[in-house]
Amino acid sequence: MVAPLATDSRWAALAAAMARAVRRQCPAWLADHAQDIAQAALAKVMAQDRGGEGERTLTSFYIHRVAHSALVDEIRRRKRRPEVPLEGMSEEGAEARPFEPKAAGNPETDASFRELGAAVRDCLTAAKRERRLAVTLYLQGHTVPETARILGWDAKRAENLVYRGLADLRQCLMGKGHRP
Amino acid sequence: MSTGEPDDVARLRAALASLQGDGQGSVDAGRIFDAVQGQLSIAEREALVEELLANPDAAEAWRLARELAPETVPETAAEPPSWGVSKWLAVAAALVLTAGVGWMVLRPAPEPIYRGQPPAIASALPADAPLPRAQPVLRWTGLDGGRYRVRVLTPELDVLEESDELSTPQYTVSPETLRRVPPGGRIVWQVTAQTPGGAAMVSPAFSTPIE
Repeated sequence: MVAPLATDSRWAALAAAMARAVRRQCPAWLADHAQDIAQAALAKVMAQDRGGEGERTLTSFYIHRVAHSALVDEIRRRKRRPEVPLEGMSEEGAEARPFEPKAAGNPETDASFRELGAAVRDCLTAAKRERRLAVTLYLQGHTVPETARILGWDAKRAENLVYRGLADLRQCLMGKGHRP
Repeated sequence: MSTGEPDDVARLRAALASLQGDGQGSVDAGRIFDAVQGQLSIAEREALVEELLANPDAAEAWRLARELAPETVPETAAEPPSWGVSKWLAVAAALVLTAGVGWMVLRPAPEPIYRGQPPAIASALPADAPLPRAQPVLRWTGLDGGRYRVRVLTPELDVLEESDELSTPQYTVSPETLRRVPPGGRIVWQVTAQTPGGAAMVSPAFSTPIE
């Protein structure tokens, strides 16, 4: 099948843009697979088109969004595979994996983290809503200004809610027998 | 609060992140990407944040969106130009089979810069070898011009000691800490690095047996 020149050129531009969007977001430890991920992302674009979403304008934001989804799918798929030990990857030093709160596969440490994590989740679930939202985002790794931006608050309000929410959380954890 | 955050925050973050989903759940990573990028309504963002506590898979996807996505992605951009999809994607579907070849032709000449470079901090200790009590030096892969802080914890994640700022990628565990660890016991340690450009990088948590 021979594509018309204009379409061929547009396809090449889309493929190149998708490749750039994947590379821009791809962690170094996954870089060897960036090409495959970019192709998977292109397939997503086509699948969504076939799904009847109609005449879509492929903005830079949309391309980054699809590239990101393909990357997340691949990362989650690899984490499910037992033959890829996370601790082995981090010890080899050739990748910049997002921080994984694992202690080299030490079962006791993992269990301690999970027990504390479950207590944090339970305490936050019972917390006042705005404090819960603020602290949940803060513990996801966001800064106070980022938390404010995402929730549409001013920085001072976000700071107060994070501060008070953390104080509540510490008190709740102490009540459950955990030292924060 | 990001730079002078309370001491326990890193531990609480790690603990919350340790809650694993089954990895099988459906997670709309695109919608989470939208929320982190501020593309949804406030009410929709709040609803997604509420979901994070109940759905560890969604929480993981949110962390990935925060860590991987560019800080800002323009809604529209001069490069690439906008396209309409339906007019030409049928042809593109056939061309995708040759995308691998196209990649080789179209890729930019310089080495691609992947997010996350330079490489992450990794332990430079022999894998699972006990740390000798006579020379209890933790070592890790360094960054050019990097400065480091090290936190040493018990396997139960109680903090045993924290270093001052270090200019070399090594740290000697104190005798006081060693006395608290029984022979054959383990310590957990983690490095936070500051690059000359001001970027912060946090290592994985390493678990090391003590002689």
